[in-house]
Amino acid sequence: MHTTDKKTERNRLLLYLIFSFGLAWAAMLAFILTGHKWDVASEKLESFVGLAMLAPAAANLLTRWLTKEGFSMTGKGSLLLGIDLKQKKWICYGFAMIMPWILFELGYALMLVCYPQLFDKAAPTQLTIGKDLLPFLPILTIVQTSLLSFAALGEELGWRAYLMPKLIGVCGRKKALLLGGVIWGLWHAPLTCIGHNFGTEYPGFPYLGILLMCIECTMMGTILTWLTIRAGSVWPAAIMHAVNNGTPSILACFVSADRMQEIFQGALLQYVFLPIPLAILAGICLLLWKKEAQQM
Amino acid sequence: MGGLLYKEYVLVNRIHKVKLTWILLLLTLLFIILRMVFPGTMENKAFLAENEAGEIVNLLDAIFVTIYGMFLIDLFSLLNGWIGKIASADRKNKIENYMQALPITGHTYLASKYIFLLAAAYIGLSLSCIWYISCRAFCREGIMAEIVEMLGSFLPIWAVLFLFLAAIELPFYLLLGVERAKQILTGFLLLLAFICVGYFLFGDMSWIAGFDITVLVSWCKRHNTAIVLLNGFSPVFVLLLYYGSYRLTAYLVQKEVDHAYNG
Repeated sequence: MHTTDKKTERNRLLLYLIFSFGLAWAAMLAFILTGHKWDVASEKLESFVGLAMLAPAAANLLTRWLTKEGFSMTGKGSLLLGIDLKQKKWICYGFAMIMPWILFELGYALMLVCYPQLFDKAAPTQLTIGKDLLPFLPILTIVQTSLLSFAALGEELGWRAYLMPKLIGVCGRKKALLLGGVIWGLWHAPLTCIGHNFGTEYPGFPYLGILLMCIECTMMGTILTWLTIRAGSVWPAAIMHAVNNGTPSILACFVSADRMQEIFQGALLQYVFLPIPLAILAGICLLLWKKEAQQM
Repeated sequence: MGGLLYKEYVLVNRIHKVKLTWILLLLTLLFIILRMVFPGTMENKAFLAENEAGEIVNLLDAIFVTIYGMFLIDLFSLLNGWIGKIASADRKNKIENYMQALPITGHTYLASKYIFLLAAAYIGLSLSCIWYISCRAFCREGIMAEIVEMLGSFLPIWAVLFLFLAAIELPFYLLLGVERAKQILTGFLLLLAFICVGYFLFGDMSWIAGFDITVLVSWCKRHNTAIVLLNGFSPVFVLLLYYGSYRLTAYLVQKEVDHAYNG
């Protein structure tokens, strides 16, 4: 990429980030400044704040409109909204639907192996869907979250379809994945500061939480970016993001929240088990990506 | 494929020189802003009323829930109207010969119709969900919140119903032409109407006595498991049916073309 091209791309990225952070943080700060906290606010109000996930998509569209980049659906520099199932690309869609489930089960299995006392046979009674439906929980979550994936699509349209291709072009793959992950993690910062994801009772609050979020986002971002490039579409990333947010895990239902509180006492250690399988998968994706790039 | 989808988008997007995309976007923004400005938790006596069960209801909630319900019905009707519209537009606009001259196969042409309606269902569902989240977030706890939740729990089923209708209607429109398809579908609807009238006249109507929205809400609460299962599995079945409908239509169209070509 030429120096002038890089400069243009940097300016476009900057504009995109201003819109993306500006729109989302405005919504999140409005929520915070009106005295709300994540663990205290109603689930419904949290869902409403969750609509801020549409901000990256809006930022993508606004930036394209201002920079006259166009709104093509497929191809390089496009919105990556096209769907192509040929050349075994359908595998990406299956991967996106199933993988979060496997990752969660592995993460919770690891947690239960290390702390068997967390296992509570009676815990699924707290489920809203009824205990009889427990075996169907992953499939129900996968179908419903895929169907209602618009919020995750909102984020992915920004991060995977606009930010990452441009970052890779400007600073190379490795730096782009790191930088992209940090940007994505920081984007969540206002909500992390009021207890989203990790609560508020851990030592080093909220800085450690923001750091952990950046690390998790880097790992997840690596998988999602590889998936987007592999499929040539943002849809598998959106589906995987949505399913991941839905927590499609049976084992999770057998982990007692009360005992977790007793054992970890709010420490961030409880959140370390789940990202371990994620980190391994991110490493595998990175290797596959490298191999594919060498073959081309 | 992109061009064909864009053609359908242009066709449905324009209503009397106004673009539908902008109308939907502005309506959604307006609804969200008004809901935030007038939440159901607003303790103004002018808005508070007592219902038959002695429960305090905020009339603002009632207004927004009614608007939301009407939006759902309007959106469903609008999307349903698109099935016939996109199936008949090419013939009506006399561009069928032009379409045949394009470097696309008949299967691609048919697939574009099916994919467009699938995308419409996804966008419609997403939009309804945004309205639901906004409406529910600012609702006072009570009967109005329960009604919104009931409407929300049926959202995937609305989309499934739309795709089911599209899977049934599209082959008729594409294979038989608009006139004959409309005759058959109207005949079928009339038959259904006659059965309903017959049931209303001679059937056991005791269940309808005392029926109101609260009965429906409590029915939904009692059958929550069934609704969850329906929401989870019906999309899978309807997508299989939808794909089957496409394959069947493509097969029959191909057979028709072969028959015409072979004399």
